[in-house]
Amino acid sequence: MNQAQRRRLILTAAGLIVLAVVIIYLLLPVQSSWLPRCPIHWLTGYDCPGCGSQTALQQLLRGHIADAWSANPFLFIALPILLLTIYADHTAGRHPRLARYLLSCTAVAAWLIAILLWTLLRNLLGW
Amino acid sequence: MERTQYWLATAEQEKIGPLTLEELTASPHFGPDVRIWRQGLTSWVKASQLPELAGNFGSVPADVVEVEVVTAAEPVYDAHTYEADTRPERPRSYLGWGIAAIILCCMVPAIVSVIYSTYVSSRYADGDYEGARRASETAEIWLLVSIVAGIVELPFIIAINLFG
Repeated sequence: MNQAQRRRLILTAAGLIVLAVVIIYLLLPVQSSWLPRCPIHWLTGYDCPGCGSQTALQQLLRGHIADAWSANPFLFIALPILLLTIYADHTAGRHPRLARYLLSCTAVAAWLIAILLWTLLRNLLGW
Repeated sequence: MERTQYWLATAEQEKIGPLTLEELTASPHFGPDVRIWRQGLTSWVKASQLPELAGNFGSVPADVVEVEVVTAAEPVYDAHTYEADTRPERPRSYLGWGIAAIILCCMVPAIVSVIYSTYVSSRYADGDYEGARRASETAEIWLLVSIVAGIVELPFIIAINLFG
């Protein structure tokens, strides 16, 4: 399999998975017990940084922006930056400066600190 | 129409330009292996690879090379595109995917992947391209491990919710 075929296969698979997830999220009611549950929350009782993501996506797909925001506000800020980071990673040859900023060790440190702060905030202050 | 402007890179990595086609071929640095850039190229190429220059090096052009042409504005000519050409392309760091896996699935293997992402950046910056490439491969493997772990885990965490 050459690189172009491999890329097409990965993109097709990713597209089908996204489509399946969107359909499942729309068909099942919000917070349905058929949806996977966060094992961290189940084990520890604490919210992990991603807890509420599924609810947020379900509400977003239904057009309920405010409910989506309150389910996981961090996701709203993180997702656009994450998508930009992935884009920069795959186009490092074309946009070397963007890649250098977004993929730097400083960026990684900022991510880890942000995730840690968000986890502490939501569990201690009940966000 | 504006005349095409050319830039030339000497063996000492010095940039000369903008030059017209005539100035370029008359330059003392000019030869088949000299690096050239003009608008429409995605990266620097050898002079013998450019169709309009190939005629200067004997009647038969060098090996047939597909010159990748992009829209006129790219690449922006600055120190970074120049620098980027003399180095191998930065290997993928998979940072975005690794962070996504940490946030969404709290995956321990994804943390290992992100640690190796930082090695990709730091080794590439230090000029250790081989080390950066190896770190990139390791980051990819740990990302795949976390994806597989997530898929394996999925039925169990659905079961937890239904029966637990």
